Amino acid sequence: MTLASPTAAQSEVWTRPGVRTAASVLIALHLMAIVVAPLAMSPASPLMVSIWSCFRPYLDAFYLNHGFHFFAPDPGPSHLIRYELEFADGSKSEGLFPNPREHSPRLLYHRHFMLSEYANRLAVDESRKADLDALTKSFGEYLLTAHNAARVTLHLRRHYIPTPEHVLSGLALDDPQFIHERPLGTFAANGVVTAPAENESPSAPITEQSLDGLAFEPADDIPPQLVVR
Amino acid sequence: MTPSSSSAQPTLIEQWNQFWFTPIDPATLGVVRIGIGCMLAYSHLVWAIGSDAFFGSQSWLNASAVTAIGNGSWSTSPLWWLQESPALLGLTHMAAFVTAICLAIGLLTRAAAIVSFCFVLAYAHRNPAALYGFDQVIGFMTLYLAIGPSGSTFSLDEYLTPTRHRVRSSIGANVATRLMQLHLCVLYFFAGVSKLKGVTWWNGFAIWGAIANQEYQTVDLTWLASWPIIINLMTQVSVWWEVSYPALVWNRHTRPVMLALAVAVHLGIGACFGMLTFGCAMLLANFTFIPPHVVRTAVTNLKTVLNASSKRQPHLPPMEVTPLPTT
Repeated sequence: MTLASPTAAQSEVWTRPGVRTAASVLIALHLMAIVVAPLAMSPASPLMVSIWSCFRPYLDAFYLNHGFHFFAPDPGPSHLIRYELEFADGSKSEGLFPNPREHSPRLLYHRHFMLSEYANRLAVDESRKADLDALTKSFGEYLLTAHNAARVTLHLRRHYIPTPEHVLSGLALDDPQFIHERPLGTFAANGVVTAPAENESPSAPITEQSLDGLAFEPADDIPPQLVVR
Repeated sequence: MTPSSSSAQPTLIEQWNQFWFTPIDPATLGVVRIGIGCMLAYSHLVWAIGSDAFFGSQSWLNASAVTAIGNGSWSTSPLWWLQESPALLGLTHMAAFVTAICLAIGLLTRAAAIVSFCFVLAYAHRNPAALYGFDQVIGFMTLYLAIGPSGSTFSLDEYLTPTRHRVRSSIGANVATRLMQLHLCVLYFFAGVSKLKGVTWWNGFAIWGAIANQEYQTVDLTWLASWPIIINLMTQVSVWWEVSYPALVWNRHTRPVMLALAVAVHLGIGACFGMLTFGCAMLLANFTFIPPHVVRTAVTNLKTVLNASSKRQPHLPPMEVTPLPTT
């Protein structure tokens, strides 16, 4: 028998009742695990969460812990990270990720896109503020090193989706009224971290512009802390 | 029901065994292996392009960030040990790429599939916040390729195996194919039912949310704002197709419709919303529903056409060789 090709002997293994029974049990457990993973996504019943926690080591280890909630419950706005860099000589520059001009090919762009989307996922959950801080600190430290900068300030940008009526009225997809930002913090190369100012804190309400009329905003995902840029 | 018809009815256990343990031609699995191997190789190439940003000592996600994201102790990655050495990281990317190519061409396939899956896990656990549907699909497909004899056909392994030892049907191929099919059904079912909570999937404007999303958009379809009925149709066909897929794809009459819609949806998403890699991965998963005899016939016909066309190529006239003068 070689690695290359299973022989008849390998197929015969499957015909043994003991092998079939064991394989059947493993298959059934595996199928149960991959069904429980999406069922345990919030909102989930305590029953499903407790079953999922039994399977979690297996699901995590084999990268099978997926909810498959693509574009659900509604296609929502995009989230990006805008950053302002300050260099030792006093000069400044600005960047955005994901950025199709910088992150190519498209698969690399999507990997950066998922990073900024993940930051939003933590940002909309008040109970995960410490996790958001750890994530943004990691982003900040990377940007400081990659650009050899002295300070970096990060902002979470939410790009709302215009309605068909907006587009028909001549508004561009990137019209400033569809772009809102909240500060995430300032990080310095010497390790000093500055939290957002009090009036820009994550708990500050939307100050200027009503979100009425902006479509595709999932009702349970409106963070009260967005600050209009 | 008469006693005779009752006895002819297979029991649940017999149906289970028939579903899982009937030997099949591994032709479908062989084609899926080629596709997944190529996509994995591309994925590793792209990881290598962003090696410093994603795997270096100062990367987008440092250890504290990955812990904060909630990766459990079962999701550790050996790539953490290599973050200080760009050379070792480069070698790792190269090894992952070569392994994926071995999987695609079917060289030492079983070993290549197992090692490829280990690489998938190592990369996914190192960067859990940089992954999306593409990685999920490639991940579970690679796992199942490692279970079945995916290299027993359309592979270098087959070419190197004496004809009498080649596998024409295998229970392992059936188990792997069934797992792929069922996992895809689970994916579509939950993708579909999770949308039923959303207002825009009911009012018919959800697809507009993708069309007018500048970060996804690669083709400008905003002219559809004047054609809301088309947006409604696309939205509601998409969601009902996803919800009904797990039931209708098993019926031989409705399967072609389900698969045709899969091609339309995934190529459409790939072309217009910049997710061609995800679209190709999903189409490969859908390919598992093509019966092996159809795949075998198509490949045989393709070989015949290619052989015929190569024979039709004009041959150069033989060169006239003038013997060198002897001294």
